Amino acid sequence: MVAVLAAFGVAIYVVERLIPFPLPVGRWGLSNYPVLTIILCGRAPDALLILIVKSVVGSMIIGSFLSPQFIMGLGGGICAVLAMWALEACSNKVSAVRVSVTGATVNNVIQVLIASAMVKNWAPTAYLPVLLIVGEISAVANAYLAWKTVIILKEGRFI
Amino acid sequence: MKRNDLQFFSRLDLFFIVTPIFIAFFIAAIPQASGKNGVVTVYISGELVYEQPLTRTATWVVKSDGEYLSTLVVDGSKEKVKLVDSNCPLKICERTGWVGIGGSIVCVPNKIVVKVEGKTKASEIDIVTW
Repeated sequence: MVAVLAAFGVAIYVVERLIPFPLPVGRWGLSNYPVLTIILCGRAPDALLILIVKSVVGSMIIGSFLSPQFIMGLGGGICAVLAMWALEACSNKVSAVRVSVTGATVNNVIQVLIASAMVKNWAPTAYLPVLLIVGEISAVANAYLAWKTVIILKEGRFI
Repeated sequence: MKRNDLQFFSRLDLFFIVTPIFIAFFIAAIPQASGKNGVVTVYISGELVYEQPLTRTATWVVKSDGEYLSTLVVDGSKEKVKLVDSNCPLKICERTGWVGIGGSIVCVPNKIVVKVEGKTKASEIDIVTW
């Protein structure tokens, strides 16, 4: 299942670039849907694996491997997984929206901080407001998809 | 699947949704701490390397250690700036287009920050790119 979700993540990562985004750079973050799904299944360590596979393989396909963009995405993603893991571990009753929104927010904040550190200037924080709002929208969308997926998986209705 | 109590949404989630929106508005409301008004500034790696009034039409070649990075274009009549002919791989800073007062252009690979400093609504920040 981890392999299937990771492959799914790579595919979304590559295709997602084609979806229009309000800023000339950035992405909606829908490729985090497989990561969220595995976390909601209670398997956070596997989420790190999926995240790394998706970022490394996906960026190799689109040609941004080891670019600043890649480092920001991976750094933000790892912090987001750790935050969602912590949230999930701290309470045994957790909702999909809560985990997803936490992950999106941490991801955006960390990415902007990494960008600020790279250019040694606080200017990148100027676009954090837009990112946070956009992040909420896709976080709720991701939460719905992942929640549905987990239910279907649990009922054993796949295939 | 160890979890049987997974919900989609609970009332506590409203707090988690509202907090980032609050942070967003808070950051957008922070005034740009600068006495300058209508000044274009260029920073490379955090250091101020160029400064000029926004109302003067000009082009300036952005270089670092003699290496060509990008070209800054200032249109005095429109009071807007843009970066052209960047050597960065993704060329997204060129797609950013014109940026006016309160806006900034960021090029992460080249560590360039272009700011148009001035007193306007901070929310008019146009775009950030790398």
